[in-house]
Amino acid sequence: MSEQCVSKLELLAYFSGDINEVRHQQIALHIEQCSKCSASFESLSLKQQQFLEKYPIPKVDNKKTVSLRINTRFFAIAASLLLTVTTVLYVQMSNGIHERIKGAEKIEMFVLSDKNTVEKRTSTVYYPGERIQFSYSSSGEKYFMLMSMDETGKTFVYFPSGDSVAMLLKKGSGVPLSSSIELDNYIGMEVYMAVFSDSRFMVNDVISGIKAAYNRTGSFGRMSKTLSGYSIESFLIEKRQRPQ
Amino acid sequence: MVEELYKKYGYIIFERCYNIVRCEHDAHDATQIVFMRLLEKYDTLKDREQIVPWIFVTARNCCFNMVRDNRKFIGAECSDEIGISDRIDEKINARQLIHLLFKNFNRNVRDAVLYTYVEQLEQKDIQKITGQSPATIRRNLKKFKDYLPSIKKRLGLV
Repeated sequence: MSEQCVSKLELLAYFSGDINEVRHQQIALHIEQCSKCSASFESLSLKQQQFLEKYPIPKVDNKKTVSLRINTRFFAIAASLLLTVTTVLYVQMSNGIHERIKGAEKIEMFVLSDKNTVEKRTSTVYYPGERIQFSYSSSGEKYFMLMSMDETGKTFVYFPSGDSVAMLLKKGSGVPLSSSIELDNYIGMEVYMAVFSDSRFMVNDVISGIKAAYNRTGSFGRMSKTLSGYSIESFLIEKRQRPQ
Repeated sequence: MVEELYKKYGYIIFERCYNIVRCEHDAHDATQIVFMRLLEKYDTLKDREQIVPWIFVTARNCCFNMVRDNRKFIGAECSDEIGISDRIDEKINARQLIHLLFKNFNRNVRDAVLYTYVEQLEQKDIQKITGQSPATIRRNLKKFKDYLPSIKKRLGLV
C-alpha cells in the first residue's frame, strides 16, 4: 500500500458514508485512480451484497412489528426495542405483571407469534405454541437462571440447561439468551422468573425457595419478594386456549 | 432506521466478528449482539467517523466474550493461516492465534496482534481504535513474538 492509499479503517468509513465531505471526495478520486483501492472497495461492495442476500433485512410494517426470518430474529428484537418504548414503560409500571425486585440487571421478554412477527406484548395473554425470547442487560458479570412456575407449583428451568449451578452471564446490554422457548399446552397463569446474583448459586436452592414462598404466600406476585440475596424479575402471563 | 443501519453496517460488523470467531454461525450470532448495541448507541455517537472504530471495539469485546465461552469456540472451524511476522514461513492458524491471544496475553497485546495480523490494519488505524501509540503497538507485538514459540510448544500447537 502506498502512502496515498486509503487505510482499511478509512475505506470502511468511506464505504459506510461516515466520513467528512472533503475526505470523501479525496478518497473517491483516489479510488478512481488506484486499482488496488478500487479492487478493495469493489470487493467490499460485493461481500456486503452477498451478506445482505444471505442475511436479509426484515420488512417493517406500520403495525410496529417486524417480519421475522428464522436467522434474523435480532432485527425483530431490535426493532421492537426501538418501537415499543411505551409498551416497556407500561409493562414495567404494571403491578404484578412484570415485577422488578432490585438490582441493576434487566431482562426483557419478546414473543414470536405464529404470524412470524416479534413483539413486546402489551397484554399478559399468550397462547400455546408461541415462542418467547428473553434478552438481558447487566452492568457486570452475574450468575443467572431463568425458570417458570405454573399455578400447580410445577417448575421448569430453561437456563442453565441441564446444569445444577447458575450460569454466568457476561456484562452486556440487550443480549439475547441463546435460545427461545416454546410455550407448552398448559392453560392458566404462569410466571417466568429471571434470577440474578453476584454469587454462584445452586439452581435447586432457588427452586426450593420459590416453591416454599409460593406455598406460604399463595401468590406469584409476593413470593419473589421473599427471596433475599437475589435480584429477580418476573413476568406473569396468562395462557389461554387459542381462539378459533 | 434499522434497515438503513443494517445495510450500512451489517457486513462491516459481520466481517469483524468473523475475523475473530472464525465460524460463520457464531459470527452471525455476534453480529446480532453488536448490531443491537449499535442501535442503542447510535444516537449518542455524534461523531459519525467514530462509528467504524466503535464497531471494531465492540465486535472485539463481544467476540472475545464468545471465545471465552468454550462452547462457542469449540464449534469454530478454520483452516486459514495468518502471517505472524515478515518471515513468510512463520505462520499460524488463525484460530490458534485467537486461542493464544486469549489465554496468554493482556488486552493491549491482544489488540495489537488482532488488529495487526488478523485485521491487517495500519498502525495509525490501530491507534485510532485502541489509543495505543505506534511505539506501544510495536512493543506489544514484540512481546507476542518473543513468547510465541514457547507458548505454542506448551499448548501443543507445534
